Amino acid sequence: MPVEYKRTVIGDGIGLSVIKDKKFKTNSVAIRFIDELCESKAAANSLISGVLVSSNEKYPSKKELSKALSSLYGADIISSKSKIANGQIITIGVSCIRDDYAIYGEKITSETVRLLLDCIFRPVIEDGGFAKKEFEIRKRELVEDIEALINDKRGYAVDKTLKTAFEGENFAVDVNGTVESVSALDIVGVYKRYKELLKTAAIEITFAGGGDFDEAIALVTDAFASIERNYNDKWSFYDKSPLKPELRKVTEQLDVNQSKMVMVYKGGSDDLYVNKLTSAILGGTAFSKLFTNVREKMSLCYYCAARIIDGKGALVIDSGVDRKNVGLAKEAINKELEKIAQGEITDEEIANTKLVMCGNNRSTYDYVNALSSWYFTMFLRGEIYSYEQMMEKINSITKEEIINCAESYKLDTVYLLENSDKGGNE
Amino acid sequence: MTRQKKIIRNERLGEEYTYVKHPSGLDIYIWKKEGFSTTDAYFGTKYGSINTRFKTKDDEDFVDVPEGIAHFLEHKLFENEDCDVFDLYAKTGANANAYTSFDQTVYLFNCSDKYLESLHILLSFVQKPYFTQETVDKEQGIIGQEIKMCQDSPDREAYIKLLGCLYKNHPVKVDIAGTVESIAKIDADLLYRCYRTFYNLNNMALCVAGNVDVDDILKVCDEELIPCSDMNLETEFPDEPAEVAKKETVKQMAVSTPIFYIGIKCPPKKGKELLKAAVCCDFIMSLLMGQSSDFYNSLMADGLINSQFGTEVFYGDGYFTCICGGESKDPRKVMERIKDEIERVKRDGFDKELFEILKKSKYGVNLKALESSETCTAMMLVAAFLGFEAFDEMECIANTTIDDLKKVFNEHFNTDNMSISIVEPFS
Repeated sequence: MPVEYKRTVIGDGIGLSVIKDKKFKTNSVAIRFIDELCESKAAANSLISGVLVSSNEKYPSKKELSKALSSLYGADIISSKSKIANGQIITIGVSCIRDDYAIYGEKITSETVRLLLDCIFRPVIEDGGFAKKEFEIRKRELVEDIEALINDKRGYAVDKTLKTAFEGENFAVDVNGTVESVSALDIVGVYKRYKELLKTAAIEITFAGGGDFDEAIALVTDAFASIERNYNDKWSFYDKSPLKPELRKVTEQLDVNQSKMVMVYKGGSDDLYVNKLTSAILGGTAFSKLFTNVREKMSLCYYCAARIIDGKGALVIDSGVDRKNVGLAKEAINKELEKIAQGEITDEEIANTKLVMCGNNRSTYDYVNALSSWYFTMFLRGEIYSYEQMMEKINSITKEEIINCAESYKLDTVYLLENSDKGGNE
Repeated sequence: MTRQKKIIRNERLGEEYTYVKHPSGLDIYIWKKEGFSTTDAYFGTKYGSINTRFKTKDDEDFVDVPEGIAHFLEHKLFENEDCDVFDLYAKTGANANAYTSFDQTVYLFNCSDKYLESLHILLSFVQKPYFTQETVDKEQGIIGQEIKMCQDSPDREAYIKLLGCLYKNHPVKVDIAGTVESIAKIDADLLYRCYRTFYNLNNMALCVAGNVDVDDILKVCDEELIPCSDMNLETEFPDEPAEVAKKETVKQMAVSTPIFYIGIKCPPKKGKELLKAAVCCDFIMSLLMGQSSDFYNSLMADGLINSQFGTEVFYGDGYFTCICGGESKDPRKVMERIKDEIERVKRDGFDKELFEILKKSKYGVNLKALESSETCTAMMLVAAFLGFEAFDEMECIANTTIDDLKKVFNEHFNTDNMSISIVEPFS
């Protein structure tokens, strides 16, 4: 695999990674701030990410910024928010086509990176805070985003479940904040929080793509070398969630045609890849136990999928069920996990699932942004593997390890979203 | 076996793909991507939810079939006589799937290993239909669930209801999956009839992109493809008036802010003319209400839209519409403002500087998309079914002038021909 990966430390708690593969026609740069995920900071951190990508001193409005990006052959600037164990990750990034594809010989990558650095280091400031117009628009948008979660019933059900399953833990905090916490934010306070974030958060910068980014790397390195730092390592990747003393059941009523049931189990192996494989055998492929038996043979669910939450020791199964089948579906899902725990898995099931896992990992190497996140997540876990090493790791997992992993999962939370019999009106 | 291979190349992008007309009747498109490990394959038929009226040389007259049958057929083909197709793919490690749209049904896989074995599976099962009345009855329950689930999506509801406002007779107004009532009319005989009509290799295409070998693929095709004679398939649509069927529709659901779609109904087109109109309308929508436009930013500043707002040009056999949509506390106000903006641009003209910027932008965005073998596969299939080449769109973008836009804009953007669909919270 001709992928070059290298990470260097360029400041106090600041790392810069470069992932290069000449086959790519594009380049991407992601700057990720990792802060402790907590109620007092989540909303402000989240709003900061939206404000930063809306303007800078040179392009003081979203319209001007957007025009500048279009001129750079449709370069993109994005911001995103995510969480991992007890950390909140705020990402600001750009992507663009490689310089040798420019029609008029522009240095696209360096120009796009300059624009990104301006957004980070030269935001529009008025009266000691972010400029009011863009700030207010992003604030309204963030509130609307939080409120819009209910529009996607599957996502809404999973979100509510995780808040219940991890109640009292950092992971239960919403990465966007809440409507109340965002509404309470003021311009000066958010700007102060931003200054603090620049000073104290872990910062991971990742360049990924076809290359020709030496000049851009130098620009970024210089820009970050001169900032004042007091890095405060308050987050950790592993924060295993304790099993509740008693099973928690929550039922919510809403106007839906199809009920949504989400189950959270806690436990799992200390080895991430054993957890991943076990979860995939249970409900991660089109030939998994849940898909084949609960969905296809028993026709109990329209969808029924399993996944793990990295760093939390949790397995989540979410399903779309007809209201009358909820009890049967719950029993059937439990039974499939039990089957694995009792060793009812064939060597073929294991081998085929390993094949899919390895194949999917390999596909990551064909997408610039996926590759960037892939290496970043491995860095967070503190283990960087090449594709070959990863494949070897997955292929060496034994049936015994899978059985032990499945056996360790205990049901912690069951959430049900069901019809309130209101019905849609036209 | 030697085949006539045609190389379709684009110098600007430094990319090429190979076209082969297979003796079985199938059109085959192969795009080799050096250095990539993923392979994507689409085996598709030009048959979607809108094709409910058809005739072959064996039929005396046109036949009408229930809505939702193309999607139903897609579900059923995944069952072989002796096993589930997913079980076959399990041995190759491929991710397999299928989808039905308004005008195509596609069976696909992506994998990073053993692509030839997966290709054998793909070509074989799609050519081997097997259904009994019993399996058809069971599927009615499963698809009924799927229809219900989709009705829980306010976005999809708003979209499909917009099409219902825009189109009076064309079947594009009905959900791809049909309705619980329409799928109840489907039986095994009807499924076989539709299968024999539309799954004729002369009506299909195979598109593959990835680090593949053209001759190896053709060898698998020679082994698997069962030759078909051309049945002179004709499809027909009911007469559709130029005007919209209805100006507005409103539905109440569990949502936070109202969700809306607004459509401008335009006359349908075919082939290269369709491509030109689609490219022009895409430019027009970006100039009118894209993120770099004054208009978009004024709606944003007035709190009428958020970043969910987007635009699309939606077209196919017998339909063509420019659509925008998103979330708004006052969707009717957004509609009014759009009408005013269209009239203003008709008077004042387009922003020429922005047009040149957008041309560069669209070139870059398309180039970026080519990095994904899946996009390359989909591009070849869409082009094959609509009657042009995959690179034609990029060339059309490069050759479009502001005068082309003016012509299309004046002809097609008629503010009397607009509809709005709103999904709002319960009152």
